[in-house]
Amino acid sequence: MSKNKITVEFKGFEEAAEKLDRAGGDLRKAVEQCLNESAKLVNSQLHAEMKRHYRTGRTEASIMDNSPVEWNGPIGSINVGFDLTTTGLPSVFLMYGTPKIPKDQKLYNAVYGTATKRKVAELQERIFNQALANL
Amino acid sequence: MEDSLIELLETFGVPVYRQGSMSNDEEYPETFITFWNNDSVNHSHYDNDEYGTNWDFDVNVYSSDPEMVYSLLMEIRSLLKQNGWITPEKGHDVASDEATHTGRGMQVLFLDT
Repeated sequence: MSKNKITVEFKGFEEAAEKLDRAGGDLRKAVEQCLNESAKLVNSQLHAEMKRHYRTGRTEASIMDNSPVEWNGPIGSINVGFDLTTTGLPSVFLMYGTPKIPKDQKLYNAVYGTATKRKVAELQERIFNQALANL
Repeated sequence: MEDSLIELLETFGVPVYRQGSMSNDEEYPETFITFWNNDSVNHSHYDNDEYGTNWDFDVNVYSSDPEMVYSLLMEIRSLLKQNGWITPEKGHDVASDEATHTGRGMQVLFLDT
């Protein structure tokens, strides 16, 4: 998974996916829901952290709030974070710092932090368990 | 762990700084390295105590020589791997304060048990 993409990853995912598929559940729909909800969670954290950096709003406006789920064979993924091809380039200064500007750790953690990864995994597991319970 | 990382980075014979620690009027050296500690989470728990620490750092190279930015970062990656560090990427661009220099950085991890 590239740095700005989210995939479905939690402990027991493969078993849960197999179980859902065998029981006739809509695996693709469950994966898409996982990815959309995960992206919403990460991006909302980013928006919250960007309030401290507001000047023109252009960098925050580059947050990819409406990314579609992309499928590469059986693997689904979704882009999150800043779109560097539009107005998101200043985010590199903020997320990684420079030799003269310390990195904004909270902004970085909103995407890459351990707590974020844990929240995303828990969210995805919850969605899959719900899909199994709804069968 | 930070001391160990700094010790390894200093073997390349260029200045090593904490990211963000240079003052505004300080001149960039021709080539230098910066680092930043992102996190140090517990690896796991048992017997009501933590077992091991996952250390997470950024390591960045800045230089007025664009080729050096790539090659030195890869040399650092190689040395860190030889010393037990995990290097999950080959690098990404990072921003520079000065138009004379470019930068590349990577995440490096160490499981300290």
